[in-house]
Amino acid sequence: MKQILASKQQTSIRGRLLSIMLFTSAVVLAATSIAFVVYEVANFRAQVLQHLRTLAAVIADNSAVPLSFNNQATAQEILLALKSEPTITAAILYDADGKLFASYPPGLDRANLPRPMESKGHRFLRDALWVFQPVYQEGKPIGTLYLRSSLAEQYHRLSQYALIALVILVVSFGAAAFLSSVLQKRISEPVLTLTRTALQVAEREDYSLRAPKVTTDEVGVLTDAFNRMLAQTQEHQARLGEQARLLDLSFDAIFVLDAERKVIYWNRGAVEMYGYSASEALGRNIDDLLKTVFPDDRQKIFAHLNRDGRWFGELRQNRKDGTQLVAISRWALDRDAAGKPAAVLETNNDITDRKRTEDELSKAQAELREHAQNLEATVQERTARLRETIGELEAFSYSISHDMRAPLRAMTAYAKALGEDFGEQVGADGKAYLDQIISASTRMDQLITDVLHYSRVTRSPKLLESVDLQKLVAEIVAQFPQLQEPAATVTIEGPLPPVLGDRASLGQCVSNLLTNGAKFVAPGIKPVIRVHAGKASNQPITVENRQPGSAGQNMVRIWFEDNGIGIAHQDLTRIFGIFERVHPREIFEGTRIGLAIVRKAVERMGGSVGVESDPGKGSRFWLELQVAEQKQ
Amino acid sequence: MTAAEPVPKETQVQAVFLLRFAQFVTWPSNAFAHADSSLVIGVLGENPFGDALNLAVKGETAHGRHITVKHLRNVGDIDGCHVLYISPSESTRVDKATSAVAGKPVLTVSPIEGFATQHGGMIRLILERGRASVRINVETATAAHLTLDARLLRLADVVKAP
Repeated sequence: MKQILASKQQTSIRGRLLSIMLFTSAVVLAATSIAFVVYEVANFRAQVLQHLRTLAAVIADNSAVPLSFNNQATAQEILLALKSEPTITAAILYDADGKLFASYPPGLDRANLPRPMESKGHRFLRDALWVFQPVYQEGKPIGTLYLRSSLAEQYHRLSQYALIALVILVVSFGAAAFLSSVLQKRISEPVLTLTRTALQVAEREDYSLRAPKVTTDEVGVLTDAFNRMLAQTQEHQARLGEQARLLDLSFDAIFVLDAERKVIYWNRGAVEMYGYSASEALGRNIDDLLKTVFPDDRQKIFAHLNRDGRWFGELRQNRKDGTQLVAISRWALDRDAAGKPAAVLETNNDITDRKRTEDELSKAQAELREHAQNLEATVQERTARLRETIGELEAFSYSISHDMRAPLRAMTAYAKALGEDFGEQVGADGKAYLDQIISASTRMDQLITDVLHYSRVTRSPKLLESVDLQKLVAEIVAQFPQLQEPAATVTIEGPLPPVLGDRASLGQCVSNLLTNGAKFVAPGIKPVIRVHAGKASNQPITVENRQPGSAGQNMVRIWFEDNGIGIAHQDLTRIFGIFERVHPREIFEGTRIGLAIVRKAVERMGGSVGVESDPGKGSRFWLELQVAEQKQ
Repeated sequence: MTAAEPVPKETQVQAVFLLRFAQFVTWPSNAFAHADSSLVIGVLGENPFGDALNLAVKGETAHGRHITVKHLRNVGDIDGCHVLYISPSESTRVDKATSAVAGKPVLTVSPIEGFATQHGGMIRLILERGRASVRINVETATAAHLTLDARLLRLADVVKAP
């Protein structure tokens, strides 16, 4: 049944036109024939009736005289004239009293004759027609004439008419069928041509085709419109193709989904990213195809998309080969005219590699952080151990140094006693050897003293107090004869500010610097030393060991300028190390610890030490110290 | 003759015949004084119809005109008649009567023998063996400007004067 319906619907316009025309022709012909036959029947009856009436009128008229003059023979004669009318099968004439006056044909069966009637009239029977005609004389009925006509011949004629009509019907229908099948082409051919072109366009998707225009009627107009539409579509297609080509240039996967998330556009980036060709992807549900894992509840994501018109986030998806990828996905919602969601444009970016790199990087950073923490702990641990060792070493060296002084003193004392008591016995050479012993042991004692000082400086608790520097320098100059006239000239220029420091350590520093200045002079030159205060400089000149905490504090620089031999540039940094000496011992006595002690002490007081010098032009040592708040 | 006396069958037929003749013959229009003037049937001589003629024409018309019957004593009374019936009693004076109306539009009828052939009459009534027949002299009637219905001639014998 469905198939019959379908085939009925698919019937070509040719068939439909043909059936319409044939149906129309058949209806028209049938209607015409029926009308013809009906008209013929009616016409035939009217004709017969008219004929019979005329005949009846004539005979009645003729019968008026015989009736008037009561002449039956003449009446019979008149009726006999009906012989010339073969369809008349009977005639009867009644007189005014209703008695039979004359009849035809001779020997008519008198039974079942119609009764005389007063008025004109007729009666159609199955095969005959009766006509009643009164006979009038001067407007008065003087009798009645009855005529009976057989209809057989008329029916025969009628059936011949019907046969002719049937023949005409069949022939006309045949002619109509032939004409229809020929003429329908005028309408159907242009339509079919157009249809063929439309089908070709649809099958090949070739919009460069054009339908040939055959007529100038509506179909011609339709063809023109169709061709125009094709041209527009072709242009549109070209533009779309260009857009699609441009979209294909994108490395991103770009695709469009309909309201049911089925793919309706799939660019080359998507092909490369997911491995599915456009024909494989089109029409498929994207989430099923790529087994998408959403970062959040799907309903929430779609609600967000519906509300804002866009969404972005990371999706986990599968390629065609089953491998997983991570995509950053951007969605844009397209709505139809009614505002309902119609399509979603998705732009996906494969960030699998970046993601992996990020993961590895963060892992490496975590490891690094862990390492750094471990390292710090190790350093702290080692530093603590080192400090412990250093402390032990310092304690050890202090006790050694301290304990070494007693035998040394004994050596010196006994050497002196030997020289005094047995000087003559040992002779001049012996005396000289003794002096060497005394000198060496004295020097050693001095060395031990200095080492102990150094140790004390490094080990003494840091206790800063306000120290009057002016007074301290003067006291130290007073303590050492080699700093006084006439051995040397030490001048203190201007007031020196009170500074924060440890009085003993600071005294050690100042004495070391002053005695050094007085010591390293060229032979025959009287040392001249100037002490003065100056601005602290941020510019380190040679050595700068500022403590982080001292920066920005109120600092003062104390200068010690001498006229000594100076220091070579390459030695400027070395001289502050322990046991460093830049001049041969043969020329300058010293324990080589003095400047190391200065540096250590100053640093412990939050200050720094440095020197500017040129060989032969004297040295300019400086101490930078914190200024003590003056108490009024 | 009284009204109660029965009238013979032939006489009745003759009375009806007179009426029918008036109906089947056409007069020229100048034969009547007015458009609605009656058609007058005159009976000359002894009345043979009794009441039969009056009964026959009662309610009848001819050419749309009423019909009246007049009884005439003399030939001089025949003016104004359209049909003149000459009674058998006038058989000796018949020529006088016909000549009096000769050329005038008056239809003359009579049962007298030789009326249409020898006496200048137009229609002679014959009653033989109970059957009525008619003899008509068409020439006389035509001369009197009367038109006879052709159907009438069919059942009549057409005669001529010798």
